[in-house]
Amino acid sequence: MGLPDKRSRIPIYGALALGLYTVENYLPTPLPWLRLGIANVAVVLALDELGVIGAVVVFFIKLILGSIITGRFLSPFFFFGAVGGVISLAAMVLLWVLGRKAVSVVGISVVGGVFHNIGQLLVARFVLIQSSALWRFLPVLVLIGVGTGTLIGILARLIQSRVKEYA
Amino acid sequence: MKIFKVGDIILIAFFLVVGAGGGVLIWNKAGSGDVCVIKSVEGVQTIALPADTVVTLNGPVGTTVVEVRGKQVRVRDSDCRNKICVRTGWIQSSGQMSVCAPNRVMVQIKSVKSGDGIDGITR
Repeated sequence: MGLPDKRSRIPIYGALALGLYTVENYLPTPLPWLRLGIANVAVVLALDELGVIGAVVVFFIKLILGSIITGRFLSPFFFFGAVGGVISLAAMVLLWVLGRKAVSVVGISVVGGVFHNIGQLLVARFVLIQSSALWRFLPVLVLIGVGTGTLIGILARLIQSRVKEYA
Repeated sequence: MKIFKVGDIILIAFFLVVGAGGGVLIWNKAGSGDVCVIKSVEGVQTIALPADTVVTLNGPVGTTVVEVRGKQVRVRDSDCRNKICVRTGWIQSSGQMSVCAPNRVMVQIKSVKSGDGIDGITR
């Protein structure tokens, strides 16, 4: 009865992350770096259901296997995504550890979205375009992060509630 | 199962306020980064924009009055013959200038960011 134990559920979330990542890769975007980041659904679910280790493993499955599938592995895009992703993951883990009583996957996903964008801006600021004018985009990026994070979070929350019905 | 917990709402509200507030602050202050440079026989004077001030300068043919209002600058009056500087009117974009050749006054808007930003090469 019920779901398999935690360790054997990690690959399921990993597969979910990979599938979403690959599909999203084929969707057109208005700007190269403006993506919904829908694969984060799997990461926040893994974090909330399986804990820190599960989330970290799922994240790296997404990051490394996902970029190999989409042909981006070790390209500049890969490092952009990696820095944003690691900062975002760290923020989400921290929030989950400290405040999981008060915060659902929606809040975790919002923080993840915001910090992902902040991380990418950091890379852009210090590696790509070394201009302090770039900080002007920070508020816009925070707002975009809140938007995408909320959408992803609601999606994850809906999945969570459906799965709980069967568990 | 409710979708939002209290903490979620607080987080979303917090980041919305930070983002919107930061945006309003930054974009209102924007145009800052521009300075108004006034050169005359009395020397060079730099005013950070936006500002509100009137500067009176003495030159070879009399006085020139430069007015700074917000992000705009103009030569309001000058004791020269052709009044080309006065007729130039308000200037506001970096790179623009208003010159009174007879009285040796040059008013120019410069971006202190130039040479640092992506437009550094073309400028």
